[in-house]
Amino acid sequence: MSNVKMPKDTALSRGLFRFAIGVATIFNALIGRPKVYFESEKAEFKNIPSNVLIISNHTYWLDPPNLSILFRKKLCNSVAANEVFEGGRYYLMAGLRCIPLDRNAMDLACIKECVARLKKDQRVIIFPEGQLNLTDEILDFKPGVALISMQAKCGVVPVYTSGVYRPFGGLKLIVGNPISFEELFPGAMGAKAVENATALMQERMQKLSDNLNSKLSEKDKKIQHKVRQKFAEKRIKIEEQKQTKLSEGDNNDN
Amino acid sequence: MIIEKLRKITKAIMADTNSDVDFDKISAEHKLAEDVGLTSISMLMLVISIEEEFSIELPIKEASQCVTVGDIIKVIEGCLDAKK
Repeated sequence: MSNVKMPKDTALSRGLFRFAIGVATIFNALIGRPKVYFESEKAEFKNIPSNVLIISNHTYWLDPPNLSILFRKKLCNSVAANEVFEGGRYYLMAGLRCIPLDRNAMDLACIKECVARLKKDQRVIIFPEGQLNLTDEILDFKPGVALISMQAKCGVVPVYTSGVYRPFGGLKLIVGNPISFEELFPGAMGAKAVENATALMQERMQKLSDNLNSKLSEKDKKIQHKVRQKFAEKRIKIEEQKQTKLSEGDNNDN
Repeated sequence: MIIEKLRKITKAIMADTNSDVDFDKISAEHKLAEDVGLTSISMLMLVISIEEEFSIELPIKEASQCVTVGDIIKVIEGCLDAKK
């Protein structure tokens, strides 16, 4: 269970979030301008059901706000690792409607909160790979995502992002056809059904990845590779700094 | 009886798997993972179903430390006692 206090879903938090998303939408339209593709007409924003789980690959910290902007027709929440709620960042994450998840334990509180918000006709953005992934290969999906869908009785919309967060179309996304609850869970609602639904989501995401990668030019791929490499190096440095601080703390304790 | 309800719940969770466990014969000594065949995700499903069935909120830390069916029965009993 997450040791981070669950942020409350209040009218004030919803209002502030809507305002922030409104402002960010203008910036995104003027400067970011991500290129959005749709798998088919069914995947267009106007055809997406209100309470759905939005699943995506995770390549950068800006993925949750970016998806919240794109799917803003309904209030979006994002699932985030509880490490990012540390210190003063808690208020920023809570403001961004992030739901803390303890990735090292059975975090039932997170699952329940996601289900509760989906039942309130909101959307939840979740990264089923369970971590940032800077490679082109999709990692195995965590089954908790299918469990949330099963409990909330809602469908899923897969989104695959590629490219980099740069102004004027650096980021490219493809929105897949919504997968309905009935398609995910056609029979008995047991453990095997969760496994099958997870496999179906993974299969659809793989299709989207192949589809989007075929649209990227060689130049796009080179830029993406370079930027991701830099980002990966930066993350390693941050991790090393954290470890040094921790070991210094241990030495002081001793 | 708690054990009977637990048998019903685990049977429902594992119904679509190819498990050859006889869920009607599950007893307190059976191990949740090795004998009943519960994985981490089916364990979560079990906790959710128990909470619905008994109208209680299980302390997840204690529930995740349960090894046998008997352990989980003790946690349920504790919650039911606290509810009284």
